[in-house]
Amino acid sequence: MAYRVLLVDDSPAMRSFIRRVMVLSGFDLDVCVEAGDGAEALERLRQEKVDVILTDINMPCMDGEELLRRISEDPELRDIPAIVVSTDSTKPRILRMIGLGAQGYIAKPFSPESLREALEKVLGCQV
Amino acid sequence: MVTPAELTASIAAAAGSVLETMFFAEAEPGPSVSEEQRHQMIAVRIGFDGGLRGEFRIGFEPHLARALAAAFLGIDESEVADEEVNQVICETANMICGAALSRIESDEHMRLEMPALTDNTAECAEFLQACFVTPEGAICTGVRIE
Repeated sequence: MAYRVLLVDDSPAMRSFIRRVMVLSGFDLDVCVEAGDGAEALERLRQEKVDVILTDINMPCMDGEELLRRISEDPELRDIPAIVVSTDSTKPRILRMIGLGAQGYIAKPFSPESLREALEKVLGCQV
Repeated sequence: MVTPAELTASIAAAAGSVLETMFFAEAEPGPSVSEEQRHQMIAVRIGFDGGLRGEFRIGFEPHLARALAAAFLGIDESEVADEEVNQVICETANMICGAALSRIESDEHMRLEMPALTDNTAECAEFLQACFVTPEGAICTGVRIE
């Protein structure tokens, strides 16, 4: 099965890196929608259906925390699984993001294996 | 209260982890660089607060910065645009700073400012300095706790 992914990160270089790692890991990527912050991500989610969201936290305009809060409040979006990909691996932050509905948390730096495992777990698939 | 030795060790561990995991590169602690090398570096500044409050700076020799950008983006060095070098260096600084602080302050809230390019890489007495060497060039880090 091919998956549709929304990548949310203010760094185009990081979005490119994650996209490349997914493909190199054998992840069947159908469509990769990209957004530079939470506000743009919400706009894209209203235009495109995706199977999973990968989001950074620290972004301008709307951060990843507010993005997850808005998603959890939206009946049309709240069932889309989200994985946080962040440099912040402190316990309070991880607990807060899980509390907001994140189903996975990947701390940067991360290996291709940890990204693949998180996607497999959330999507219930074998990459 | 974190000691300078703990902070230096955490930055060294974070830099090593980021370079190895994301770039398949190795870095080892090295001697301080010359003033001329320091002035040529591409440097990034990140302010932070939470359990600790202060400022992190990191400088990369230009050839190393371009090599890292090429490795990160999976393209040849000759194809890397200057803007892409800056993006990758800012992201690398963000990862090293965030990983170092998360190791030290794992139970505390942490907030990082957006990484910003800076031309100020001058050695400064109030910054705790640490340098690393890679086959492609040197990296200098500095951190100041308020």
